[in-house]
Amino acid sequence: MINLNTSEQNTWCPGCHNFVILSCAKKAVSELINEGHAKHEDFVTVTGIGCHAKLYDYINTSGFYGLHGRAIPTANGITLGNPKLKVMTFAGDGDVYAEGISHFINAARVNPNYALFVNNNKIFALTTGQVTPTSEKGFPGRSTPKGNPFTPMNPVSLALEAGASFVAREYSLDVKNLTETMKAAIKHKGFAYVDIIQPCITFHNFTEYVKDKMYRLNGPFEYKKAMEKAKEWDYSDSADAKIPVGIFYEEERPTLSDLFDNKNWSEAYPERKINSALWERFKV
Amino acid sequence: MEFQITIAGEAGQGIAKSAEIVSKDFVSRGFYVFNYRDYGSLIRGGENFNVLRISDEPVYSNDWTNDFAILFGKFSSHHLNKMKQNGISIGTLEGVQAKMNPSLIIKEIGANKIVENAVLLGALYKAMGQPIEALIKQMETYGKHTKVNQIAAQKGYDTYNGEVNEIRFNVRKGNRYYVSGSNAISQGAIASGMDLYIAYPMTPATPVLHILARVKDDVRAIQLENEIGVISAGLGASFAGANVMVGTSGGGFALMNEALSLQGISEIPIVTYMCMRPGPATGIPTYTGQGDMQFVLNSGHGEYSKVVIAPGDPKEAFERTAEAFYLANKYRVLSVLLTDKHLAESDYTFDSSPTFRVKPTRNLVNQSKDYLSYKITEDGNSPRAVPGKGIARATSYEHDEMGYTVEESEKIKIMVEKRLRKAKTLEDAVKKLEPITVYGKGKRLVISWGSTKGAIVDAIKLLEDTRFLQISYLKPFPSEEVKKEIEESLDVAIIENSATGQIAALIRENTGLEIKKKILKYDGRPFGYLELADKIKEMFK
Repeated sequence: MINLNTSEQNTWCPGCHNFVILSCAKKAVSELINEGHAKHEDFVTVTGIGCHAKLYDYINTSGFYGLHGRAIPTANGITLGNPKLKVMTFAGDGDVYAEGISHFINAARVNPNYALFVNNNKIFALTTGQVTPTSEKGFPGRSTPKGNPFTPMNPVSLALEAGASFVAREYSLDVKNLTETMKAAIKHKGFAYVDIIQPCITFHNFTEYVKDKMYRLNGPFEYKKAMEKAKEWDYSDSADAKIPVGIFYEEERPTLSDLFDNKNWSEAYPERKINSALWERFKV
Repeated sequence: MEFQITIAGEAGQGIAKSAEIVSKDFVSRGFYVFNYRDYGSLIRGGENFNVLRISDEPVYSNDWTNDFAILFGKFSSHHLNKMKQNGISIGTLEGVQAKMNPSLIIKEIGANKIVENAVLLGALYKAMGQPIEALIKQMETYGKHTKVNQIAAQKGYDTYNGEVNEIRFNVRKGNRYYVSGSNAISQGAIASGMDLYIAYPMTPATPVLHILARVKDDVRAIQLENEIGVISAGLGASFAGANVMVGTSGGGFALMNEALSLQGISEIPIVTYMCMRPGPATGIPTYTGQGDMQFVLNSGHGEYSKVVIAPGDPKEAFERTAEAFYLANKYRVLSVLLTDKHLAESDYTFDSSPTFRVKPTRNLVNQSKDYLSYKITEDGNSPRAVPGKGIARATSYEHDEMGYTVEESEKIKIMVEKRLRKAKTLEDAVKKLEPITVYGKGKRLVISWGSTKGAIVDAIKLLEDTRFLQISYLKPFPSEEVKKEIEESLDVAIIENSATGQIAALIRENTGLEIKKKILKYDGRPFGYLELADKIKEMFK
């Protein structure tokens, strides 16, 4: 049995939903290893910066603790360097929907082969409570004491619009479904995006709001239906919202590394031939 | 014996191609050609011109007066007062010595407007007393347009009835290599074992992206969404084991900075091709300058070591690219290849081949169970391994040997000091790579770096008692070597294609010696060698 625990001291708030997400991620990895889908050494955990990113310290796989907003392009590169790696990319909502939004849209378009899990608590938590692009209008963040003046974006419909080949939403406390969707996302060939609704128990606890409004999809659907479903909830705090969770959409198409011939470079060429004779190409 | 030709016209009239045809013909006959390319940031209309300095001895620069000129298009009249006394100008402009009407000639042969330049090239060969057969042979590279261009050239040759100033040479036989900085960097990277080149288009770095996208070697050129995406993916790919180079110019390099800093703490090897143009901001996109030197040296927040290499010509660029990969992989650092538009887009002729001082390897170790990504070592250099064979970690956070996050005082100091020891190790490594070169003899010393080499080497041949110190490694800086050269000189000046002379500040920072004399040029144009010889003479008067 592979031990995915580390001995690092955990510094999430007691009761933080990140503990659940971490445990689901370990369960997903462990089951995928047992099912023969991948080997322990194939997994790479990539993170951005924020509360979610501490996950890097708490899971015993290879890892890349990246920069705020840059988990996506870093993971793109990992799949270009060695397409055999199983990359789990974690990001926060401020991280990916604010700082890294251009990478998110372009990744959906170019289809790199990895799973992107966004721990979406609709708040900047590690910087102690400012609004993000998914915070609801009127929310009194610390930089917006009179209430968030902006309406939230819908990252799920955006991902569909941008061409993501796997789009899902899950809830951080639904262990069974979150684990299953994580496994499906890791197994998906292409850019597999899962928005994980994760109330922040310290700065933005909307547990009560989402609890009764979620219902499970029987997807994936064809594109048009998926988009309809994606638009059912606009990430606002409207009282009569219905929040679909589950897999919205899934398709298979060539990945970013497929387009560059899926070379694992250090394996294809353990050492390259160093050849200064290429200078002869300039001979006239 | 040497002469200079300017070929000028509107963008889209085939100016650069004409220059290439003439250059390659002369080089193939054993001449040395330096080809300077001047163009604006536009696709059609406006002026483009190339200056070809052609000689029976090696030449590495041009100047601004011409023996021959082809001037066509309405923007080229300013070249009329740059003719030498017996110079011959040919073209469609009022005021040229030999006025031609290529549009009439192409009508006669039933050809398209696009071959007007071939008519004028034919006329040029007549004016130079050169064999038209040589030009016609060189035009075979035109592909399906070969025939019509050859006919137009012959017609231009036959029609020309202006003065003839026959050029006679005794050229030495031997190998000739005709190469631009962009080509040298591209082939140098392949020769050094590069797997991936990742970039976002930005002049004047873009030609390397174009070249590497077309090569048949087993490498990939990949264009991503922006320079932040480029450098982040570059670090990701290198972490996964690939040999990676990324490329950009000043603005893109500015965007890359947060990830360059990530390189510093994560110690993932990467090579960055940084091709300067004048700033600030958009500046002058298609012209040259060296004003980003201090920015590159100080790039990335936080304290960490990096390598900044400034090749002086394409042959050096080819050689130094191998060193960039070698040092990056061996010491898990960022190597910047710092060049500029003048080096990247000018063509040079060499008669010998470069040899690599080093042999880059991936420098990967076999992972055992107890592999430590940031092992504390005496020389500060931790062995490199990749994910896929065992556990490998990379992090933007301060960390312990395993790569786990730390914030405790003692643990922070241990890792900071490991990186400091690596800086010293890197300094020792660079000492073995000829970080400086001295040209000529004399008590007076001019100091420079990068693409100004060509004009300086050509200029000091015309001067007495003047030698040239070229600094090829800007970081780690060869302090002792530079100090020694300065102290052995009676008079010292720096030369730089910038407004402030940043190399003087760098020398003072590293040696404590202040150099007050500065020869600077900051109009986006490179130094001409005669112009520079005059300025050096004036400075040392």
